[in-house]
Amino acid sequence: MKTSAEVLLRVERLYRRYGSAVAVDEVSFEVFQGEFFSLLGPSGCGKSTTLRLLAGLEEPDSGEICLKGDVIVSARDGIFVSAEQRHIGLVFQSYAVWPHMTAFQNVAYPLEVRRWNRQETRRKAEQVLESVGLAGLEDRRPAELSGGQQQRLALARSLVYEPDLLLLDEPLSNVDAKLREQLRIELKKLQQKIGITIVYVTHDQSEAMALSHRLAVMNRGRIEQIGRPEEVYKAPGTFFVQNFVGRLITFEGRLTERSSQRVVELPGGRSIAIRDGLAIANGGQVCVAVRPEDMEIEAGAGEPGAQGISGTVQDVAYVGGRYECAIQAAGSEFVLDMPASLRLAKGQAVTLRLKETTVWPSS
Amino acid sequence: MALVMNGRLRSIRRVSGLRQIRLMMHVGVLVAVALVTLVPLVLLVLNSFNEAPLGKPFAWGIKGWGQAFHAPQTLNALKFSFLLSTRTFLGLLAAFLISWLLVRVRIPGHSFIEFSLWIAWFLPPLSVTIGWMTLLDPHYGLINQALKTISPFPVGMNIYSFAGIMWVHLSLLTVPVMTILLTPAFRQMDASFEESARSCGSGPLKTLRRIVLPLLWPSVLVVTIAGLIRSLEAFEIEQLIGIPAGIYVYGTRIYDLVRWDPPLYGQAMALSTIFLGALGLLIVLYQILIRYGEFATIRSAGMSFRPSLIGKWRYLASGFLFAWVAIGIYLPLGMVLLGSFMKFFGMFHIDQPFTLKHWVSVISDPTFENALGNSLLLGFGVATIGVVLYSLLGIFMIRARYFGTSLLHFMVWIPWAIPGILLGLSLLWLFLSVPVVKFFYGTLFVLIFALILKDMPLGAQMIRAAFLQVGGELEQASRVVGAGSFTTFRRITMPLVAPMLVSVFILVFMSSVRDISTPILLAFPSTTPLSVLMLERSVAGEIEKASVIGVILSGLAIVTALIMRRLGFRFGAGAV
Repeated sequence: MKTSAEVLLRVERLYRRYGSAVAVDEVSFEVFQGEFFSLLGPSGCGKSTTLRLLAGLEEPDSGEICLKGDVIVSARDGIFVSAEQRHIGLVFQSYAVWPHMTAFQNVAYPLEVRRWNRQETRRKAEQVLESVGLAGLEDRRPAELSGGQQQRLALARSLVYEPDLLLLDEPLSNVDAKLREQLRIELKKLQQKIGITIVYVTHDQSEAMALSHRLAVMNRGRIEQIGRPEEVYKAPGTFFVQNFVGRLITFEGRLTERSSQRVVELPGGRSIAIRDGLAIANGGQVCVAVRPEDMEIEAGAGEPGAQGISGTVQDVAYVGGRYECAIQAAGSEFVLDMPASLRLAKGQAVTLRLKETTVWPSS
Repeated sequence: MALVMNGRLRSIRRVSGLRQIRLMMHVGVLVAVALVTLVPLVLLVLNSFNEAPLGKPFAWGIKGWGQAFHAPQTLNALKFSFLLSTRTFLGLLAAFLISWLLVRVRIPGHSFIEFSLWIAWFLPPLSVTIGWMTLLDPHYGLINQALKTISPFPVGMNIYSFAGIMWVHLSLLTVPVMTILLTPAFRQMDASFEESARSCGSGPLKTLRRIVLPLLWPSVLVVTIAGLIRSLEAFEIEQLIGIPAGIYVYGTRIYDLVRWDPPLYGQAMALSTIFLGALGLLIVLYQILIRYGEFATIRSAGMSFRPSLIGKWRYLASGFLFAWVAIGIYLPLGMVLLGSFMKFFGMFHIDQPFTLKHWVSVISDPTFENALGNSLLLGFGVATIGVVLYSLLGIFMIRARYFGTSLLHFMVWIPWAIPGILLGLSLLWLFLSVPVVKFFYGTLFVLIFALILKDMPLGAQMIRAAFLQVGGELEQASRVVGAGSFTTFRRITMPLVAPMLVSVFILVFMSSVRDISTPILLAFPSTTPLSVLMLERSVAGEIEKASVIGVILSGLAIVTALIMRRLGFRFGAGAV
C-alpha cells in the first residue's frame, strides 16, 4: 500500500467503556483510500465495538473519528453524525437481511430512502445483485436463501449506494470452511475491481493476512501492532501478536550468561544462544518463541554439548499427503510436520535446531 | 449545527441537549407507571387503617383489622385460600409430565392435546363450572343420577366441595396454564443432553429425573411461583361452587364485605393487605428466579430435535391424556351447550326437555343487549388503547438507559400478580375518593382503565420481547444504509412486529371480555359486561340463562384460540 495515498479515515484515541469494563481503550489508526484494513483479535478484544463506533451505532466516551477530512465524531466537541448520515456500509455478522422483504427489496431499500427514481433503483439494484452472483434470485425471501447467499445479499445491500467506506464484521464466520475460502477470494476480487475502502473485523488470522493490505492486532481494547501482514508476522511487536498471528512453539527457560554469551537454559540441560540487545536482566524467567517453519528436525539424540534441543517423538499421524509428529522437548509438547526424508517412529529420539528465535519476558 | 460533506448538507446533533429531553421523558414515564400501579395499592393498605366511612376525612384506627380477625368467615377464607393453593404443586407434577410427553416423547395426538389445553386456558372458567354443576350436583347432577341407578349403595360426588373446587381448578386452569408455560422450556432444551444420557444406558424415566429435571429446574421454579400467584387470583369458581358448601376464599370474602350495606371497606382492605404482603414476597422471589433463570436456560444450538421414544407406553400415555382432556374440558363444555337448550337444567327425564326459549329470552332481553354492547366496547376499547400504550411502554423499557429501570420493570409486573378483586377494590376506592377522577365513577371508562392495567404486564412484556427480537441489528442495518429513525420504524420495525401486535390485541380482547373478578366491584348496572351478567344470573339461580351467555363467551374463546393457532403463536416462560 502506498503511504502517499490519501487518508480516508482517521481514528484518534477512541475510548468506550461499559460500566467498569473498558471495551475500546484509546484506539488510533488511519485507513487510506482504497485500502483493505483489518482489525484482528480474539473475541472480546474490542474490534467489533470499534466497528460499531465507526458505523455510528455506538457513541464513544472520548476520542475522534474523521471521514474524508470531516470530523464525524468528537466526544469533546459534542459532534455525532448519526449512522444514517455517514454514508458508510456495514455487513453484520448475522447479515441482518430483513426477513419480510425479498432480495430485491432488501437491496433497493437504501436507494429508496435516498429517493432514487424507480427505474434507476431497479437498474442499479439488479446490477449489484448480479455482481455478487444473485441474479435470478431477486424475488426470494431471505428464508429461501442459503447462508452464503444471505451473506452476498447483505454485501449487495451495503454496496448498492456506493458508500465511502465498507465495514465488514466477521462476514465469513457463519459459513462452512469450503465456502469461506471461495467467498474470501471473491471478496478480494470485488475489492480490487471497485476499489472500495474496507475495514474488516475478524478473529481468523489467516483470513486477515490473506485479505488485508494492513492489519491491526487488538487485545483487551488496545491495538498491539499495526502493519502489513508480513511485518506483523515476521517482526511482531509483542508476544501476544506473535502468538496470535500464525502458529508458535514456546519454551520456558532462564536467562544466564555463559562465556560472555547470553543464553537461555531450558529444562533438560540444553541451552539456546540468543542475540544481544535484550532488555531483561540475567536470571530472569523468559519464554523462547519459535515458528514451526524455523525449526528443523533431525533423527537421533545428538551428542551432549551439541547445538539444538533433544526431544522424543510421542506420536506420528498421517493427515493426508503428509505426516505430522507430536514431539516432547524441553518441557513443551507440540506438533510439527515431518519432513518427507525422515521416517520417524513413536518413541524415537530427535534433535531440534532452532533457526530463528524470539525471546519474551515470561508472563 | 450543520456542515457540508460529500456536497450534501448534513445535520449534526448536539448530544447534551437530547440527553436532557430523554431524562425528562424517563422521569415522566416512571412517575406515570408508579401512579397507576403503586398508588392504588398504597391507598388500599392505608385505608385498612381508616375508620371513617367513605367520603369522610381520614380517621386513623385499627377497627378494620380487629373486625376482620374476629369474623370466623375471614379465618375460614384464609384457611381455604391457603389449602386450595396447594393445588399448584399437584398441578406442577402433572404439567411437567404432560409437557415432557407432548414435546419430548411426542405422543400420538400431541398437537390436539396441546391445542385443547389452549382452549381450556381461553375458556371463561365460569361456563365450564356451570357444566360441572350439571354433571355433579348432588341432587340432579347427571353423573350422580346415573350412579344412583347402577349402584346398589348410595354413592355420589358433590361438586360443591373442597375436592370439587380443586378438580375444576386443576383440570381447567392450573394444569393447562402450567403446561403452556413449561412446554417452551422443553422445546428450547437441546435434545443432545437427553440423547447422550440415553446412550450412556439410562432409561427414559431415569433420564427425565436425573437430566431433564435438573436442567429445567430454573424454569420449573419460575412456573411454580407463577402458578402459585395465579392460584390466588381465583374468584368466580369459588363464588359459584364454594359458597354453597360454606367454603370462602379471601376473594369471595372481600366481595362479600364490599357488598354489605353499608360496605365494610376497612375489613376488606385489611384482608387485602394481608394478601398483598404474601404476594409481595412471592413477587420478589419470582423476580429473583427469573433473573437467575435467564442465565441458566439452555437453548438448543440448532433446530435439531428428535423425540425420544418410549415404545408402547406412548399409546397408553396418549390415551390417558385424550381421556383427561375429554372429561376435564370437552365434557363440561358440552354440558353447558346442552344445558342452554334445556327447559330445566339437568332434567332429561321430563317430556320435551329441550327448548329454545332461554336463547330467545336472553337475546331479546335489553339487559343482555346492554351487556353485550358493554363487553364489545370494553374488549375493543381495552385492546386498542392497550396495544398503543403497551407498545410505547415496551419500547420505552428497551430504550431506558437511566436510573430506575429495574424499578420500572418491577412496577410493570405488579398488576399481573394482583388478583382482579384486589385491583378492583383499590381502584374502587381511588375512583370514589380522589376528587378529579371521581367524575368517571360509574362509567365504562373505569372498567377500561382497570382492564388495561390488568393486562399491562402481559401486553407490555410480549411487545417488548417482539421489539427486542426485531431491534438490534435489523434496525441498525437500516440506519447504516441511510434510513432515518422514522423510516426505519415504518419500513422495518412495524412490519416485523405487526404479527405480535395482532396477537396481543386478540389476547387482550379475549381476556377483557372474559374477566369477572376485575370488573365485578367496578361495574354499575348500566356498565355490566356479559361476564359479570353471567355470574349474576348463575348466582341468582338462573343457570339456563347463565349457560346461554356461557356458550356465547366460550364460542368466542374457541374462535380466539383458533386464530391464535393460525398465527402460530407460542408463549415463552418469561411472557406470563
